Amino acid sequence: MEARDISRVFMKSGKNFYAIENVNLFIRSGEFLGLVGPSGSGKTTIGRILVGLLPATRGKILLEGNEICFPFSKKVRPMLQLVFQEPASSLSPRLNILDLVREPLILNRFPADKSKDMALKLIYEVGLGEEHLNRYYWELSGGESQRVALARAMVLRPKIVVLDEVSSGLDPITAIEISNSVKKLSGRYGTSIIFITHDLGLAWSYCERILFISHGKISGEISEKEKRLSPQARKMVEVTIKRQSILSS
Amino acid sequence: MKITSGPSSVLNFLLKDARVLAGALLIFLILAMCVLAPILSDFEPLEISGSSLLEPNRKHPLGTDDVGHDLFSQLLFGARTSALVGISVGVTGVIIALLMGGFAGYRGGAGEQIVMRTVDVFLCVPRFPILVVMAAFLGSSLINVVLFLILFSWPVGTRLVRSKVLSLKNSPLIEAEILFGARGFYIFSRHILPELIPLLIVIFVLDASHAVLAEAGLSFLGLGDLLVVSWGTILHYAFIYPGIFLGQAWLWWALPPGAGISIFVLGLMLISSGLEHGFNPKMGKESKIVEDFSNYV
Amino acid sequence: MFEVKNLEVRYRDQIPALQNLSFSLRKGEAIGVVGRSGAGKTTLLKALVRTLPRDAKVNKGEILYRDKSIFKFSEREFNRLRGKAIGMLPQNAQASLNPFLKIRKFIAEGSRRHQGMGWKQAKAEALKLIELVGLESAWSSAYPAQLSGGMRTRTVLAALLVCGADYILLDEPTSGLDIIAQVSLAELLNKIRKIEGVGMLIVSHELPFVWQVCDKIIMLERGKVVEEIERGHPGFQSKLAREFLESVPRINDGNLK
Repeated sequence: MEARDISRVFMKSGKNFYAIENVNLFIRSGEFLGLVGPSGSGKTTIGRILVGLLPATRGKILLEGNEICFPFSKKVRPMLQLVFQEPASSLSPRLNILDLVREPLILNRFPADKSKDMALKLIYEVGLGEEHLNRYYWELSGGESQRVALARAMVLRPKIVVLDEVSSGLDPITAIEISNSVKKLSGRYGTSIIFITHDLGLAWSYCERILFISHGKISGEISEKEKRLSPQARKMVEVTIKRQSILSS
Repeated sequence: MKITSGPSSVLNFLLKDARVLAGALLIFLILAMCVLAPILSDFEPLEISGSSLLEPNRKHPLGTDDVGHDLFSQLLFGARTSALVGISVGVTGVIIALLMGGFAGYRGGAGEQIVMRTVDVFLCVPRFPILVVMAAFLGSSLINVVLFLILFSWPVGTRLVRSKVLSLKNSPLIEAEILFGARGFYIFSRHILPELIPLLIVIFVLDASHAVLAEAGLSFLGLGDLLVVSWGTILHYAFIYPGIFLGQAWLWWALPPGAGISIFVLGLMLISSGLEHGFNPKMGKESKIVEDFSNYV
Repeated sequence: MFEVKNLEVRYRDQIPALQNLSFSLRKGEAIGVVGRSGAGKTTLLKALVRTLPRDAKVNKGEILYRDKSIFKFSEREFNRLRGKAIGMLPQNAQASLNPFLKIRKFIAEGSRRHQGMGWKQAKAEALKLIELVGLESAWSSAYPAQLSGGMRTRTVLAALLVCGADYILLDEPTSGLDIIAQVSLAELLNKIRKIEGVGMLIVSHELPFVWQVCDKIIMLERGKVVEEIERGHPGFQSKLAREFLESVPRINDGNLK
């Protein structure tokens, strides 16, 4: 997928305010891309625009070479998914876990038995078990309900999944476990992942490429080959290194 | 795909709540009066069945009014009218609120503006005085009264429904559904409607109780349909009679219908108050009736 | 001095949320409590300020403030302690701020109430504190809604200091903060500790942050103390501590992969 010169503007006290400005990014099939920046930097906005929850005020989005316009068509929608920061707010309190993971399939007219099999498979793959099937999300821990959200997002075998700060509410150990599950699933199904976070270290452990964003603009990029960083992004890297050395002692 | 949680467990929980039970009991009493009216009363309410102003006795459990009507049967048949008005206005109010509020909140755009500005206009108008004026000029048959009442109760409900729909529409849950390719109608019926039900019940209670009080008020003033017996008309004639407070007559003439109105409204209010506590987020499943924006901030 | 002895807290007679917890906190000291979600960290904080929900009971053990059990104070007496002697910074700092007051006014009110100053003096004092916590004086006439999360945390800190708190309890102060903001907050906490001599209890699941501020770390798992790590002494021997250490992501030399 490629995003060209995406901007999103909204009015605030009579003036134009750029949530994101002239953002260019691309992601290849199966790639694990990180998007790192502080709160309010616009990374959540980018994530939402890329999956079609928000329209970009300017710019183009291309998927596999074809331009897609907001609102995305019914064929395109299932290919782009997003996992929210708060699982509690994106899961229905009325459906049990099995039905929650089946819902996207049923919506897309998969036959009943097939949808059950696919849902079960994914539920086990994210690390939940039979005892969870009949429960409701509010009976589970934060980490477990985040896994449910992940299963829901993956069950339609999307091409791209955006993870919007999914580790923020979790303790570091659970965050690592969830990220491991994501990596595993992405590898198995060839899904591209956009990993949005403010934790540089976490992104570093999983991403092949990291984009830095600050004040609505891309301020740097790190990958195996390249290393272009703005001063602030550079500082973030330095601070992270410094911190891990404190702990090593 | 079944939607499991929901009705049965909630009902169980509600039936344990003292308020709901008390309210339900009162309403049941009133409804029993309505249904059993022909059986329990020996006379027709508008039939002159005895001499005037008889005190309560075996033949006339509540005595008779100044013309000789049996007050007991008047009370029972009056219950029918009040209940009828209350329920019909309540149900219609809910349906209109759901359709208009749902449309305005969900679709938005020009349609929403039209609906909401109309609501604003209606809300500026003082309900009861207009009712009185309309009754005076356009005639006061029961149908007219009910129609007038519906006309003035739909705005409140619509506004409540719309704001709730708006807040739900922007929640991550709905966004997730959109991502899966769900379309408008599916989202509305599966995810928004169930969350609206507690609110709709409250709207029903509000509209119904207002309607009962308004109808009684109109009839009391003599502006209602005087051909149909209602608690308001009983009170009207009671208070027209000059000697109403001179003796004990008010005890069995004016008190019962007044009490009836109070009990009906009280019962409805208790049910809604109990429901509000029953549907609270501590259970984790149901949403609060009163707006709780903190969920969506 | 705060002393906790063999504390046990249970919710509705189920498995204890806290078991056999003991530690002491002196003024000027900083202790960190680290554990996974649900380990009992929040329960501990609530117990210390006596805001445990009704279905939670302190079964065994003592919490002593200046050698007197906090449960022996009347509600009124303890209320006077809250804020004046013991301040709490909740996870969501916004909850502690009055959304309708500019922050300088908010803090100044604290001065007036707790130290009986006049308005002018209180405002000047508030400005001093706002700068102490690292906010530019220009922000002193801002409303809480205009500030970022990290700035709100600093504002609440200033408000607690103005009340003269001897002990500050912090509940997950790092939530929502990126690494640069976390380091900055840690430095601020150290500064406040040095200048004002307050004792701090920091509850968090961010081990590196806690390590930067605290002299002692208590590792909590399911209500039990798994390990106590002190600066300068060998530690990180328990499985939990090891897991936490390992979960700190490393970026090595700054080159990806």
